[in-house]
Amino acid sequence: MTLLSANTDLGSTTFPVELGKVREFATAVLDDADYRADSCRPVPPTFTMTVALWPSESEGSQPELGLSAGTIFHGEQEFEYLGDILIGDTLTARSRLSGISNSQTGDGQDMRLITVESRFSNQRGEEVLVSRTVIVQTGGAS
Amino acid sequence: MSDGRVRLDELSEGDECSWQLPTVTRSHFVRYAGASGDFNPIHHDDDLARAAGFPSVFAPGMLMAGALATYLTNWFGPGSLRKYRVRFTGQVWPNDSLCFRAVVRRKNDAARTVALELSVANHDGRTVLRGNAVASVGPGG
Repeated sequence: MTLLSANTDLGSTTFPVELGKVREFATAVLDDADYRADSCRPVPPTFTMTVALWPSESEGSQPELGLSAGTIFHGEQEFEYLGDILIGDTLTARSRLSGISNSQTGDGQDMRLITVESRFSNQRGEEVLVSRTVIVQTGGAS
Repeated sequence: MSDGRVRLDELSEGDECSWQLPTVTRSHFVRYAGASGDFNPIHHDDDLARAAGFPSVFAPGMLMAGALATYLTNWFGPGSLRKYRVRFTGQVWPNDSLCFRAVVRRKNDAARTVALELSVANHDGRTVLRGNAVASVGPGG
């Protein structure tokens, strides 16, 4: 198991931005815009969360974040928008562990905060989005 | 040309916009799980949620964040967000009634952007989400 530290490479994922998935995701977040294959309307702002549906590629073994134990919560999420993401694009997300810390909850329970930063580029090599996710783990292995 | 989105000259610091959502249901949680790939069972499996010490399943935080982004997009226009940050501060339970709130904290006329403070509260007054955003604002003024 790879020892976790800040800047651990978590691999990359390449996936297509597909009309059907955009429509499905939009409905789920109460967006009633009529997305079409030739839409020049950017996808919903949190659409890149769907990267979770695609397999990660990495040269070495995938670092284990140790999230199977305890209870995990999504604590925070941040997006920086650098360019539009459109239906028909192909995105590559490169992720790294950008922070890891231990803390305690309000009622004294041990808590681990894990920050994953993902940088998304499109098929033209343009960086279009930076995403940061803070995962909170309580009651798991330290 | 008016396309329904707010214009810069229509906004002042301190302006507030709020939106009352339809009641959230387990169906919303399940639809979002399928759409996003977030299959953390705490959001759809009541038995597991209770075993983990919760009264029931609760909403994925990103469901509320995604919906709030929808309202901001409707207000400012598609592709207008420059930054969006949220922190999940409380669970959203089935049948909660939520109110989204956005306050203009700063207006940058030169850059044509506004900085917003965001919050989501449920019907019993609990704040379940806090955040902020920067949006580009369309022509006007």
